[in-house]
Amino acid sequence: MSAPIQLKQLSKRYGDLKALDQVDLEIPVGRIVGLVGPNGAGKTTLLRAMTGELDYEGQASVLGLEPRTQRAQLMLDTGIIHDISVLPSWMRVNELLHFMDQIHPRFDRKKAASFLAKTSIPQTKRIKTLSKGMKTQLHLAITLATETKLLILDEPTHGLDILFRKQLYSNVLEEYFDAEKTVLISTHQIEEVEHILSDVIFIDKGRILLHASIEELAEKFAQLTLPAEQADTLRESLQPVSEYAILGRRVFLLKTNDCEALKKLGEVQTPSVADIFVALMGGAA
Amino acid sequence: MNFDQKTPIYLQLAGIIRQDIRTGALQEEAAIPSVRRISAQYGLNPQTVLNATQLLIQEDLLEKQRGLGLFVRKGARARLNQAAGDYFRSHGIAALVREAKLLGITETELISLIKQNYKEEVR
Repeated sequence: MSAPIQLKQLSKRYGDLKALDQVDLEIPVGRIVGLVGPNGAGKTTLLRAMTGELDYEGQASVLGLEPRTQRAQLMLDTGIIHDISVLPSWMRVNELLHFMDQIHPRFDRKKAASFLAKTSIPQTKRIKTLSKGMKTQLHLAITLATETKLLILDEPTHGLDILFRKQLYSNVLEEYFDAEKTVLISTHQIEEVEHILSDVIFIDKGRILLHASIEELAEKFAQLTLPAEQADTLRESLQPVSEYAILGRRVFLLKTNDCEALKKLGEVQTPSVADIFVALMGGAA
Repeated sequence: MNFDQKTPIYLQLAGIIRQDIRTGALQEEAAIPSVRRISAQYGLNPQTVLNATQLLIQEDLLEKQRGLGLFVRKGARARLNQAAGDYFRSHGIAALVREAKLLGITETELISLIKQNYKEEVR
């Protein structure tokens, strides 16, 4: 099966601003991919271009379709949750379920109802009267109850409390994801998704800085803790991407192919995705 | 669940499952939760969970029953406790005594502290 997401030289311009700058990207099936970048990096623009919500330059193939011209068909197999609720606020919850049942051939109303039964959302309430967390839960219930091949979560936990956040990802893992599906999560809260991801993409100023699997990251980067004097003598030769001081010692974040050699110098750890992100962004700024 | 950064996550998860077998939270000859369930419960990528269960299969602690999932092997608990007991006798006690010496706790005092804790039935 060919990769569900294939982008070639994808660009998007707003006047002089290059929101996306010749993005090349291929995401295979069965992956949970984190799209990570600071505000204004181009995360949402990329996701919107991918789903045909925006026009773009270059080539895109998503689930074998061209988003720009085959959007309706693409949407049958794609679930999307943005940080801003787009559910019709005037509808009641049960009306929304009925509506989805009518318009989407792959919507499973029973599944949605059983999801909602686990929440405190009353089905007779109007959507506008629900809390932010409830709206997200409702949106998630609708989305996960629809049999799609691609799930896009755009800052899904924005404005939610910790319990809702954990629940959200837990639901995606338990009720949705399998080897035939692809999940793309954009976030700037890397810590809360880092163990869920199979791959990360770092994006800044419309460009992809890094696209790697979690295993590759662990192979390519290492965190070395050294006594301060030793750090001073080794800094030149090791060329750390970033460093910080801790209790009279120095922690180097290094790009490396040889963790074994580093272990002779000091304590070696695998840096977290967040550490690597901060280091690389610090260098780019 | 908080995972540390020193050890690969799959090894930490394998450790959690071993501990659950030791305490009986996971019973011998009973099925363990599905990969999907464990992945959702701990917020881990399913591949990480597979790596952990693969390791435990290699250690003969879990076995795959076709179409039914993964089961705790008979004798797994005793084997794990045997190993843990050996470790405790060789290293655990030594670490306790070392710390006591560092704190200036005498042999007599340490023994009476142990006796007291035994009575209170820690955990």
